[in-house]
Amino acid sequence: MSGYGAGVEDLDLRFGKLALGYLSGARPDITTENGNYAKSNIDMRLYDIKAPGGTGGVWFDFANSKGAP
Amino acid sequence: MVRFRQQQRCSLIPTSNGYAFGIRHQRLEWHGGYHSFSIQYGTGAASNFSTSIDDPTRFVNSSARFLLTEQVVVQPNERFAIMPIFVYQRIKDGNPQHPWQQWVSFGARPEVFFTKYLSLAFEGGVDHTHSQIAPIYDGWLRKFTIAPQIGAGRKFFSRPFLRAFMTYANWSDGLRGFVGGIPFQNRTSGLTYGVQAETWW
Repeated sequence: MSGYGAGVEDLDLRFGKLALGYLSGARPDITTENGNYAKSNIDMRLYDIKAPGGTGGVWFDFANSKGAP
Repeated sequence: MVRFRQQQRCSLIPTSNGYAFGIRHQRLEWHGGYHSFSIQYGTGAASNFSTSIDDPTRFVNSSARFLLTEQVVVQPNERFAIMPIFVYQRIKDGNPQHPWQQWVSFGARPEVFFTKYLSLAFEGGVDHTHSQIAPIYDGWLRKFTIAPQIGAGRKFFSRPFLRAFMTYANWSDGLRGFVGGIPFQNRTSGLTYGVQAETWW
């Protein structure tokens, strides 16, 4: 994922690594009553987890887009 | 609820929550390249797996996407490399009248490196896609590219590269009018060529 935001990556959890970020995006061409139509994402990844034949990773993303005031 | 003023004056944009999750298996040191396999699924505001925002509809909360990919790079020596990929995707826009749309794609890019700077790339691919949402289409597309290259190195991902390319494609009658824009509007095949520079940082 790419966009405006901030986060951390490569946090060592011993069994793997963690990345956690907040990323956001907007549609300047769509105006709602509370400003430009926008979306916020919380992005979480666990990766570099030992797995048969290589490494495994899991990803979770929560997104929210506000339509109304 | 607010009004989407741009195009559909009367349609409403609902507030949308969505989640997406996925798993990936990788082997990053593998035959001079790597292998990566992933499965992803997402709903609602998260269904495009991206911070970008699709045109909103009042059905956004029921939208969903399933994506399965496999990509491999194999480079046994400094003269040859190949990258095959496979993609399977199903999306639905959330409208209860609209069924899933499907896309299946397979392709491979072999490259032959003659010197540290000169190489030749090929790429062949087949896609099949169908949609029962207007405009309805269903069909396959085949494409083949040849591209002589000047670049900085003998690895598949060496960059920067300057390449001349020529691509021939043909597609089934069910995709007539949906491929390549206006120049290929009434055709089921096409040839295109050009020069391309690629760099990464």
